[in-house]
Amino acid sequence: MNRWSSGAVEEWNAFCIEVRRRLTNSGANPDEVIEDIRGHVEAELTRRNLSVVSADEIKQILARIGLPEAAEESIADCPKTQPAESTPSIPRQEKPRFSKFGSFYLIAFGVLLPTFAPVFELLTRICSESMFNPLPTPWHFALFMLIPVSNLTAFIISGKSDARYRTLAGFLCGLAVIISLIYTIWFIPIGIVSLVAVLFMGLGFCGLAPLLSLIASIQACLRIRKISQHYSCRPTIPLLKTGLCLGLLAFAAVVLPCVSTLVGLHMAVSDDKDAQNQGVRLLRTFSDKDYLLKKCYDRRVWRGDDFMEVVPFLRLGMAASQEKVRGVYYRVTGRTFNSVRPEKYWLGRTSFWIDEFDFDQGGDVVGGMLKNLSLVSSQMDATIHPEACTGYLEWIMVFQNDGIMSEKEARCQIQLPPGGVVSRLTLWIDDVECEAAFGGRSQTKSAYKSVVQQRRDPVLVTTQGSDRVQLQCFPILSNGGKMKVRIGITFPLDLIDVGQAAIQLPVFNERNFQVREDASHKVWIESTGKLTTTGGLTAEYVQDKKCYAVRGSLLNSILEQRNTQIRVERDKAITTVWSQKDFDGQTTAIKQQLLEQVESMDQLVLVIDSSVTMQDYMQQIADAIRDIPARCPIHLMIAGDAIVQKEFPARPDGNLSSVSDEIRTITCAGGIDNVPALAAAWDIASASGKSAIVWIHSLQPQIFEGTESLQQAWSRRPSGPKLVELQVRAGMNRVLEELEAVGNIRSVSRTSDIASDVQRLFGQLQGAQPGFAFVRESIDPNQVMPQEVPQVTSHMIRLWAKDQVDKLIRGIGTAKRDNAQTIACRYQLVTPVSGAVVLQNRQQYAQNNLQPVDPETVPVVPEPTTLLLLAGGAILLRSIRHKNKTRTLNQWTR
Amino acid sequence: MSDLLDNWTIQARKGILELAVLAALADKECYAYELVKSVAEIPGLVISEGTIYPLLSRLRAQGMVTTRLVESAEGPARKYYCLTAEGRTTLEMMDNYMNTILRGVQMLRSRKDQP
Repeated sequence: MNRWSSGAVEEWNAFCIEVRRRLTNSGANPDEVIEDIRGHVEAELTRRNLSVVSADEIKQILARIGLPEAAEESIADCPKTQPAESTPSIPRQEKPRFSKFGSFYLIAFGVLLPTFAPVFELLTRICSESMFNPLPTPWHFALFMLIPVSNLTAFIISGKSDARYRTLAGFLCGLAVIISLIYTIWFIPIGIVSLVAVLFMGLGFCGLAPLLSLIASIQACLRIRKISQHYSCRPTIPLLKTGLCLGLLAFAAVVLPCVSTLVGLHMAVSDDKDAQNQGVRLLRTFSDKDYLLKKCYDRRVWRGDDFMEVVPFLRLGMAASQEKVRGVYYRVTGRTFNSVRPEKYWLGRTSFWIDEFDFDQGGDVVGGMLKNLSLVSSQMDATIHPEACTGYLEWIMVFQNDGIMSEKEARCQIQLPPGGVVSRLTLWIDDVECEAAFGGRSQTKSAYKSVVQQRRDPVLVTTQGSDRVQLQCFPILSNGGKMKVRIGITFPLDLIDVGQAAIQLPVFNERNFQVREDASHKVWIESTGKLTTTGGLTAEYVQDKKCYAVRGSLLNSILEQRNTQIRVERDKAITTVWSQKDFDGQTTAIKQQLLEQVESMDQLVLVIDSSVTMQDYMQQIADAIRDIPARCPIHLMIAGDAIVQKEFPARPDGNLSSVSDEIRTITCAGGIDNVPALAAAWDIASASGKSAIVWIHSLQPQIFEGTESLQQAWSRRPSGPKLVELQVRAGMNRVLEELEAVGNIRSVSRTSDIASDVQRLFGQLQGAQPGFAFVRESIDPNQVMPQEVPQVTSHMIRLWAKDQVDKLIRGIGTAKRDNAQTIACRYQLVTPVSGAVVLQNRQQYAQNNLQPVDPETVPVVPEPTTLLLLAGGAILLRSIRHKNKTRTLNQWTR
Repeated sequence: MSDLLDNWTIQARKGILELAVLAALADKECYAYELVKSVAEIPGLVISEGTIYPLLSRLRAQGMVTTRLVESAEGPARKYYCLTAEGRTTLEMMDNYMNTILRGVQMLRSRKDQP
């Protein structure tokens, strides 16, 4: 390395001044030319291997190189000396000096603090929990970490003379300055608090990290500028502006999805329909879905979870109610917000608020999913009575709260088998089974709420629309506390034909807890009829009990798809049965007749939901419809963002291939409210004599338009078009909940794959396949029934009671309603007018004017009387058959 | 008379210098000193580094050449110059123009020589 004498330096400086003067207006860049010549001089000196460079040496080299030829105009115009700021500095051999404090500050507050602060935040989430989340994504973290990286680079490069590294340092300095500036603005609210904390307690430097690192980044820029001037006589920092611009662009890229989400949300919650649709389209196309989900959960007054919301315009979306935001989430994703696990901070942790706080506790809605609440055990035991065409299933659930802070309430909506009714509710309190009290709906609800307020042990079951109940239990204690409940469901079998029936298991439509991966549903079904099954379960004949059984475990995700097929064979000869039992001191005797019904519609209005959750089924539906004969005209309505209608005339010799082709073209997107399409379908269907609306759909968790017009239509014309609905998968259906009072709705159960179910449905509606109906009537208990009419399970009586309640509540007048409630309570049923609640002690029951049922009167699995009856029935049947056979034989031999 | 010649040669050299540098870069990339040596081989075209650096800076600013630094075992990194596509086109045009002029001058001279 050469050391330059002061004379050499002076000679060089003079040369630089002259070069600058000559190159003014020449079109050449003086800085670049000086840099090139300096490189040349350096090379020359290296070759000469001098320890000290004298003025003569420099003079000699420069003379050989020669001065550039001057631009003609520059010589005349330019002064002989340059301004001080562009005077070339001494060559690099003498390094520029920087203050020690400056170096310390750059390392301490420009490198160490901005490295420590985000890591500290990621580990503790102090800022995220208390104010806002400064690092919502890994990209935010990476962006912030550019600050210490840039400052460190600047620090290192300020000790080097290589021009290439200076360019890099200049670029990084630009990035660091703009990023730290943005974060400084964002952190203004915290910065003030931190400043006070630092001044008075010496703590809180993390909150000041952006501001302190901004100062350090500016200092780093000045260093690079100084070094740049020093060695190359450049008065500017290379690529600084590029760094600034790219930093800004990088930040924009990181926040753009969130900004787009907020803008889309703002539009989607507006009152203008067009703006709503545009907003939803924007959110479907380009938005951060996790961010949108977070909005569904958040109820803090000052959100500020994100940088963007500091900007007033972008907070506009937050003016919307949380319900609206949840609705938008459904329209955009096609999923309910609580069907998705609560969003996590990246690196796995979840917000404390989402983890621990339940805003819907004790309310009427299932609400958001709680992270630390799980279903840890699920057991379904059922007995099927094929001759009575009824079943009874007990579902035992154990919930566990792994949260650390608060007791939790488990809430869920359960989809019952079609026509089913809850006939038992049990809660385990201190390992003792406590049976429920059945009372009026509002009576049981208020009893539950009053006990929840006292933080005692209640469980409540109420209906939520046809074939749906809501279960809620509280308190599940924190730190691994458990709660065990059981609901008993009495249900009719769905007859495929006279000799075969399908069994559909209950399923969660909505829940605020998670189902653990290892908590599959343990299913055990027994019947005297032959049982068959597919998918995950196994069927067997149990020799010692002389019955058939279906056993196995089903994952919740499998159960939700409702594809599991369980069938039971029954004796075709038995079409009339009877049952008798004492309920509440009164003997009830019921006769049930099985009737075959063939109905043929004049017109079908087919409403197809085009929500994204229909995507997996659309092809199967189209395939299933293709080969169905076109016996009656079909009016197809596609429920999308806009309703699409098409008419297909009847073709006696043709099939529904054109309807099928139309269905194939449907593009499924987001979540669609089907109510407008149903209302339009009712208008069309009601114009024809005998018509039905066939509604094939997925879940309907949100209603935007309201069902009032539909309710009015059916209340004004109770015998109007029949609504036959087929829900392809488990999930909420707010439409059916609201149409609970409408009697003209038939839910089609999922008994097989969707294609078979659709074909069966169309076959029945077009008169090609019979349907079945049960006629249950009260008889005199003293009446002697013929021998060939077997006595069956008392669950049949409960189904009769349910029918009575349904009939009465569809009538007008409070007397009928009161009567319905009395019947529901006597037969221990959860109906639209009654509920079941378990309270902790007698005092609570007395306070709420309720009486828990006698444990002796509740149905059980297996029901002892039922087994006796079945055994008796089997013997009776055998003797009847034997008699018939003997009679036939005698006739034949004669 | 000699002043006139001096001025003329200076002007001619100035005009041809860009062409010579672009031509030297036509086949391969060179660093400045190599260019000086290459150009200096042309008789009558005396050039120093002090002249060539501003010229290269201008050509770079005009997009005729690009540069890249290559580490050198003998000293500081060398800046290599390379002709751009635009530079190559310009060289071709300059070359054509020059040839046209020279041919024209030759024609004038040959016409004068005819009786």
